[in-house]
This record gives sequence, C-alpha cells and structure tokens, in this order.
Amino acid sequence: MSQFALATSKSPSSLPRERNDWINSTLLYLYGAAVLSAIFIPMAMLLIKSIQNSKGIYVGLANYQKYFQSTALFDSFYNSVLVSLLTAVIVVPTAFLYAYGLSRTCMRFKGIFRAGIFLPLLIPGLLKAIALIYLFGNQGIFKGVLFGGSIYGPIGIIAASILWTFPHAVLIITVSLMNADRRLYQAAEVMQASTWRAFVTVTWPACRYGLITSFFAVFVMVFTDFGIAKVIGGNFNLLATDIYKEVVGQQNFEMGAVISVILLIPAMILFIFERAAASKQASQITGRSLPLIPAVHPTRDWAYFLFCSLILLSILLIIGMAQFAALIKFWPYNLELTLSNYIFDLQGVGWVNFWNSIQMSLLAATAGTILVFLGATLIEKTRFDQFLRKFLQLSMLLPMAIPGLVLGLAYLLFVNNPNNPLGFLYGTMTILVISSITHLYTVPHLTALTALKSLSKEIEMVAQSLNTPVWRTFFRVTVPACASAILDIWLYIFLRAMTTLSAVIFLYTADTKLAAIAVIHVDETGYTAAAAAMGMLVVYACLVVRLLHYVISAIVLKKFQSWRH
Amino acid sequence: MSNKSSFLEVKTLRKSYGRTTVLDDVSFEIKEGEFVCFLGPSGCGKTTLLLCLAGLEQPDSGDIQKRERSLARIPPSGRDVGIVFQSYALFPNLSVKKNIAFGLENQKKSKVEVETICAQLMTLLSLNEHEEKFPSQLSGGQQQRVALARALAVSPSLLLLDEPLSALDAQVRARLRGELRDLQSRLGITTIMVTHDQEEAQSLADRIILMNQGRIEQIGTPWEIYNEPATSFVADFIGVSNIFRVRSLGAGEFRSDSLEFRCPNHDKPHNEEVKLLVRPEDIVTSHTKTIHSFAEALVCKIEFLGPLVRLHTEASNKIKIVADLPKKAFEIGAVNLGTKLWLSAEPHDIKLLRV
Repeated sequence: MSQFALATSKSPSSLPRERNDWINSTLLYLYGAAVLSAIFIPMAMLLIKSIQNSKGIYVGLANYQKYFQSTALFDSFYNSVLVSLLTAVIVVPTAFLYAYGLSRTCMRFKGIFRAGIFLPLLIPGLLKAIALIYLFGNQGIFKGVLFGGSIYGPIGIIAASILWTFPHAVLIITVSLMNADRRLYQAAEVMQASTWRAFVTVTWPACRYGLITSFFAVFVMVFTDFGIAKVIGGNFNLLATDIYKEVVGQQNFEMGAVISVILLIPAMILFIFERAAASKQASQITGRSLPLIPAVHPTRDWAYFLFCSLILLSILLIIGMAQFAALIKFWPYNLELTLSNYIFDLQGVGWVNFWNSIQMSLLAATAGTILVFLGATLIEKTRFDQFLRKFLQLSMLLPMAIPGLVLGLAYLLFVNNPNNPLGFLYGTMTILVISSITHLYTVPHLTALTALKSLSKEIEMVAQSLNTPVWRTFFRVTVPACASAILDIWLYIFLRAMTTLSAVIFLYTADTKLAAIAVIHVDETGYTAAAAAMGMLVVYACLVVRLLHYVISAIVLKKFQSWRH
Repeated sequence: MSNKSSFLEVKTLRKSYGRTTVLDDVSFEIKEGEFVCFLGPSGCGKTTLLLCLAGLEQPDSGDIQKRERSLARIPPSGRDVGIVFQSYALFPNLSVKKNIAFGLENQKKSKVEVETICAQLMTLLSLNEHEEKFPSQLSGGQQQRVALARALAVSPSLLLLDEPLSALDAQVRARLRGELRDLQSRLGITTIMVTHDQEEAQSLADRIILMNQGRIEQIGTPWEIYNEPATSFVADFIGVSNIFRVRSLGAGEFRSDSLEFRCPNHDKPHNEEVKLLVRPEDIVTSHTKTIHSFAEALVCKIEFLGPLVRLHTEASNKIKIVADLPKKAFEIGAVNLGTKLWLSAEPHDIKLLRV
C-alpha cells in the first residue's frame, strides 16, 4: 500500500519535542477521539445490537440463526450478488471503451464527451430510476423493447445501476490509461510488434489493475445501494432493501443489524481487494513517463466517436426524460407542459425539503472539507505518534467499505442509546451532517493526501529549522499550495451529500427531511411527476454549484497558484 | 584555523533503523568558520548525520555539543542552523522575496529590517531581478541560490547543505561551487556540506570527513585524504588507485608472485601481509628495469585523456596496473598494445594502507 506510506517511516521516538509538535499531537489525539466516536463506537453498537433481542438482552447468535433459517436471506443475497455482478460485467468493458476513446484516440468533440460523463454524477440515483420508468415502465415510451419483460425488478435495477456507476468506472479506468509511456509504444513499434501484440504487452499490463479496481468498485456500489432498488425494484428483494424494510417497516432493529452485518462482510472483503488492486495500480505510475499522443486513425476514431455518442445520448435521454416528466401534467394522457409539479402540495413534502438539502450539503461540504484537510495534514505531517497515525490512516479507508445504510443504522442505534451523552443529536440537522461526512470521508481524504504528498516533505523541515509556528506553515504554504484540491474536496462532498440518501434515510425527522428522501416519499404516494420535479431541483442545484466551482476555481487558481505552470 | 576553538563536537554518535546501523560510533570536531564536507557513497550515513545535527533525526546514543553545550534536548528551531536540501524545498506558492523573508518574519523583525536583509541577500546572490518570481519560474541554479539565501537570512551560526549541487547540470554546478566557497569565506559561517562527489568535496572543503557504512574512514584536508589515505576504501574512493596485496620480507621489502617493492620507509615484520597503494600518476615506465621497478607488465589498453595518457597494463598472474603518463612523456610509437614495460615508483610514493 505504497500510497499510504507515512512521510517519515523512521521512528524518531526520542526526538526532542517542541511547541509545534505538542500542538500537532494534541490535535491528532482530538482527531483520533472524533474518529473513534464517528466510526468505531457506532459500528460496535451495531454489532452488539445484532446479538441482542428487542429488549436489549444478550441472545448470542440467535438472531443470525433465525435469519439463516428463512429462505428470504438466500434469495436476497443471491439477488444482490446477481444484480451487482451483471452490472459490473456490463459496465467495466463499456467504460473501458469509453475511456479508451477519450485517452487513446483522435475522435472529435473529446471535450464534450469528457464533460458529459460527469452529468450522471449530478443526478440522484432515484431520478434515474424514475426516468427509466417513464421510458420503459408500464406506460413507458419504449415499453415494447423489453418484449413483455418488466422494468420493475432486476432489469430496471441493473439499468439504473449501470447509469449510476458508469462515470465512476470511466474515471478509474481513464486514470489507468493515462499512465502510458510513449517510449514503450515506440519500442514496440520499432521491434515490429503488431497492434494486438502492443495492446497485450503494453496497454493491458498498464491498465489491468484499473479494470480490476473499477470492477470491484462498481460491484460494491451496486451491492450496497438501496435507493435505486427502492424505486424501481418492485418485489425484487435485495439485502439493502431488506434492511430498510426491517428497520422502517417493522421497527425490527435487531434483524436490521443482522442483515447489516451480512451486507458488511462481503462489502469489506471486496473493498480490501479493491484497495489492493488500486495500490498496485498506483505503484506503476512513475511520473517519469512521457505522455502518449494518439495518432490519427480515421476508421477507429469514427468508430469510437459513434460509440461514445451513443453512450452520451443515452445519458442525455435519461436526464431529458426526467426533466420532461417533471414538466408534464399527467403522463401519458395529458402531455401539456406545466410548472405545477414544482408546487408540491402534498402533505409533509415541499420546498422546505430542498432547502434542507441545500443547508445540509453546504454544512457537510464546509465542515467536511476542513476536517478532511486538517486530518490529512495531521496524519501526514506530525513527526510523532507513529502508531496513532498509522491507525488513523487505515481507519480513513473504512467509510468507503461501510455501506451507507449500515452506517446510518449504526448512527441511529448510537444516538438512540439512552446512555450516550451525544443523544441530544437525535433528530437534528447535525447528525445528518455528521453521518454524511463520515459516509463520504474516504475519497476526499485520499485526494487531500495526494495533494499533500506532492509538497516536498523537506518543506516542513525547512520551516522547522526557521522556527516557524505550525499554523503559519499551514496557512501560508500548505493551504494555498493545495487550494485546488481543497475546492475539489468541497465540491465532491456537496454533490454527493445532495444526491445520496442511504446514510441519512434512518436519521431524518419531519423537520430535517431532505430532498432525496422526499423523492422517495412522493414516489410512494404515486405522484411520480412531483417526485421527478423534486429530483430535478437537486439536479439544478448541483449544476449551479458545479458551475460556481468552475468559476471560483479559476479565480482562486489565478490568485493563489500562479506559480503552477 | 588551528588557533580557533572547537565549535561543534560530535561524540560517539550511534543510530540504527531496526537491524541496519546507519551511524556507528561517529566522533569528530569542527572549528568555527570551517567548511567541512561529509563525503561517502550513497547509504553511508552522511545525510542521517546531517539531519542529526539539525535535530531532524535523533541519534540512539552519543552527544552533539555546540560551543560546549549539549544539543540533545534542543529541537530544530532552537539549534540556530540554516539548512538547504537537495530538492531546495522552496515554498512553491511564495515569491523569491517572500521565501527569503519567511524565517525573518518568525523572528518578529520589523518590516524595514526584513526589507534590508532580503535586499542584501538578493544582491549577494544576484537574485535582484527575480524578486517577484515564483520558484517554478527559476532555473535550478537560481532556485538553489534562493534556498541558500533563505537559510542565510536568519543568520544562523551553522549552515547545513545536503547535496545542494547534485541536482544541477555540470556547468552550473562548477560555477556555483566557486560562488558557494566565496560566499562562505566572505560570511565566515561554519558550513557542513553532504556530498557523494569527491571532486566537489576536494575543491570546496577545508576538511573532509570520509564515511563508509556508518563509520568514519578518515578525517583530513583534501591533500591528506588524497596523498595519505588511511584505508584502501579511501584510496579507492578518492581518485584512481592501484592497490597491491603483498607480503613483507622485512627491512622494507615486499613481494607477491609478480611484484617486488623496495621501500625502506615502511618497516614491517617478516611475513606480514600488507596493502600498498601506488597512484597511477606516480608510476614511471621504462623499457629496461631500474632500481625502483616493481613489476613488468604488458600494455593492454591505451586511453588518451587530454593532458595525460592512461595505460592499462597487466603483470603476470593477471594483476592489473594503471599508469598515467604526462602527455609529454608519452612517445607515440614507442609504446603500443602488447609492449612490455617496466613500472617503477619511488619509495615515498608507495603508501602503506591500514588493512
């Protein structure tokens, strides 16, 4: 795991500590305490719950026994694996072709294709499901395409999951394809290797770990997701929807905890595989390779252009359909355009949910960015407390391995515990913010770490010998030098907090209901058009913030990073 | 320099990472105003030693004293050292001037003072026209000078340089070498430089501390290190050397199968095995045997190196001997591949090495 190696692998155990070191250590221990109460204690409570009965008395593995005896488990488990596997099998090769088109061909409009792939990231998973229902559902436009098959169930789940995971897979694979050394291809050509042979001996070894990583990543995303299945799954049960039904439908927390553990174990194992592949990938990137400049090859370029256009058009079709759905009076009978769907005159749902989402996402993004960047700096730059730093470093990877729904349930059990001094958080916006930050923590942490590692570690040594207080180096050098990474982290947390639902579904109250949750509720009552409208509000907000981020980045980069060329 | 008192004293320093020993019983003294080079192959512990002096690494045992005060419990910021790294480690987002002023602002100096010191240093290091540039807009040599100026700005009593020139190309390197030495003698600041380049160490240092595998092999002036190397490692590391393993016959005579040395200045008991060093430029060739001849050898390769001609020869038993002839002493045609020559060296050019 080379990318997680700490800055000083040596142990300066008895180095004299100075003021800076005491500040760092104190902050590091505070940070450790926060990590403990944000991840480890709630997860422990979840595990404990799974071996208790409803009165909180220890019952050993009785809950598990009960669950394993019902056939429902096997069905759900099988369904979850099947859906995740099929999605990954379809997504990875398609994403590879798309990424290959972006990085290795001379097709036209590459910029548009590159930007277009980010669109699905702005759309809540539920909205994709709703759009699919309009397209292929009982009254869908293209219903005939399914030959009598139903979109409600595995087909719909897989289709929506493909749309959802595709950009993630493309991003991972693009990174691995960028890691190409022109000289290797020139050497292959000089030695008269065929195109195929060059692909097998040069391209493939360089990107295979990217493919493996993306396969595991897609699998885990689908395996642990619940929103899509909730909207389009019909009676097709998955592990994730089972948890929701047990907890929300039956108030059966014990069983919810049991299924959570069963969902957690494979997710963890797959995640470890994914990290192993990702670190192998990272170790191949040397930084000394000459970038590859693709040659013009008209037949190939046009083929890729057609392929990528097809993909992009289907993405646009989905968004267009969702927007259309939000604007028409009564599908499919009255296709008149109207804005009335945006009024939300339904009980318990309204614009307030949208503003809740905005408030929650702004708080999560801002607090999360500060926490992530400070935490990564402490882990990376503290000279002491080797063990604690290594422990925290590994803990930061955990949130990615814990399904949002499982984390949400753990938080619910945590704040509901009468002995918890933090119990006052129950039902507040704060708990939604905390659970969102924790749920989304890993990716921003890795981004921050990469940015920090790109600064020479000797800079800290120089600052030290110049007798600089630690905060001065932090604000004068570290933060400005990492400005663009910090903005990226903010954007990531904001967009994901706006669109994801699994980490918050168990924690909201009537006062803190978020837009994504409102979409589900409206959809349940049958007002699909209003659900689409609520979903589209999220899309607009994400688009606006995405554009703002673009503008602000440009200004900040100009101001703080004119040194970068 | 001998009249100056000891400025820095390092006593029996030891340091290991797990099983690898990085510093093994290292002791030496440095006088005020001296320019000292830690020289040695990579991995010999010289950078670790430098970091220990700066307080950025902690030795396992031993002590470092500056002006007779122990530094053991003093953190880097209190050690009054300036440090320049091989990577320069300039703050990438600060301009040249702000980089130089960075340490001064920590000292709570007034604006005017900061301005004056920066201006002086920029003039001293000819950085004036680059004041507002960022490090990435400078050449390697300029970046190196900024790093130097930044370290000097807080007027430390000790300047530590970690391979400051090795990232530069050969020409810039040679020029900066001269500038560095000028600057050091003008400011009179005690300086320690880590390098693996023997030529750099020889041209810059008042004294060289030559290290190998965590131990000090020899401490001495460049002249001493070259002319009186203590061990075969030193002899090999500095310059080109012929090292012969021979047996003493007593009375200054040494012999192996094909070699025969007479040097009355080295008296060793009968039958003791010793190593002798003869530098290539101290070897004289002739077609007939002379009183100082120690071997007869075949010429296997002739290299023209400009001012001198290097002969690669082989005596019997495959003993390889390198001899350098001044261009003037080399007669074209008289020596060819396969020519048999007698090699001689005067007794005082034959050095006895510590085994």
